[in-house]
Amino acid sequence: MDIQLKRGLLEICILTAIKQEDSYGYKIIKDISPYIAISESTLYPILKRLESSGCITVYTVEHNSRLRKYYRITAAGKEKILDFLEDWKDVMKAYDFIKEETHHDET
Amino acid sequence: MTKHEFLTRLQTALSALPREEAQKTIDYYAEIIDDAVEDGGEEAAVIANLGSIDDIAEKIIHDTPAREFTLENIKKRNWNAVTLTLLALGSPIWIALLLAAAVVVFSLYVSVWAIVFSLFATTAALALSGVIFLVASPFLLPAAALKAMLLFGMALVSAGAAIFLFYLSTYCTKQLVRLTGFICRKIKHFFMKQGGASDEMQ
Repeated sequence: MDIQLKRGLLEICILTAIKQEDSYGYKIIKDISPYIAISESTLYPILKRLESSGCITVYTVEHNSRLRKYYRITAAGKEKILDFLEDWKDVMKAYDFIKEETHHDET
Repeated sequence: MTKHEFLTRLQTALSALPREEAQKTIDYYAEIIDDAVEDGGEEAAVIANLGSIDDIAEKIIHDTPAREFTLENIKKRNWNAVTLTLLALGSPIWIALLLAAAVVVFSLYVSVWAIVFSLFATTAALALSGVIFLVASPFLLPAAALKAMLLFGMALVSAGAAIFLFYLSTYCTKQLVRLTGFICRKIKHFFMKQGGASDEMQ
């Protein structure tokens, strides 16, 4: 998949993973993996970026005598998900067009 | 590899980063490893799954904005007493050398512009002579018709040469301006790279 496209998708997937309830790194990867390939090293920079752009906030919780970072979505983050879903409608229109034309070529 | 080994090696690989950034990264990976092991994974397998430390470090460094580097590298450079003393003692020499080099480079640059300027000057001269020939030629007419025609021909040649040279001069000027811009950007990039890493990718 195109790198930029994948990165965009991952951002939205990560936001979605923490939308219902706050989550932490390992769990986010586990939740997203069935839908899109993501590695620990890919997650980290995206989390950093989302935090610096104000889409998520971070806080620490003690767990089994160690510290765990939890991520919470912000209003801006939720907005970003909605924008993505809107944008994707246009993508689907273009996709349908391309598929139609390709199908015509083959028949 | 054990968790401790992995984290220590990762810390070394990230030594170019500001301490705070490096620590956050270490914390992240420590947490991931702990959670994976708690979930039933085997430590060595989990760590192997993370990939090579060099790749991880490269990705993190690549993603860090350049300005965070330059400040850090300036702080970290070990300005010990010996280095500083040598720099100070040698200053008459290296300052003079730097100045000389700068002057040489600058005069080279100025002379290139001088060439372009002389091209324009030649253009003007040719244009002027063309006009003079043109104006002079009819005066020779009744008596020396051939000479008049020669003069007229020379006027045309001069005019043509002037036009050609004019286009050449403007072309050279544009190229020189572009080259100057290019060199300035290269210099800027050189100084940024000295700080350690390339700019953050969008």
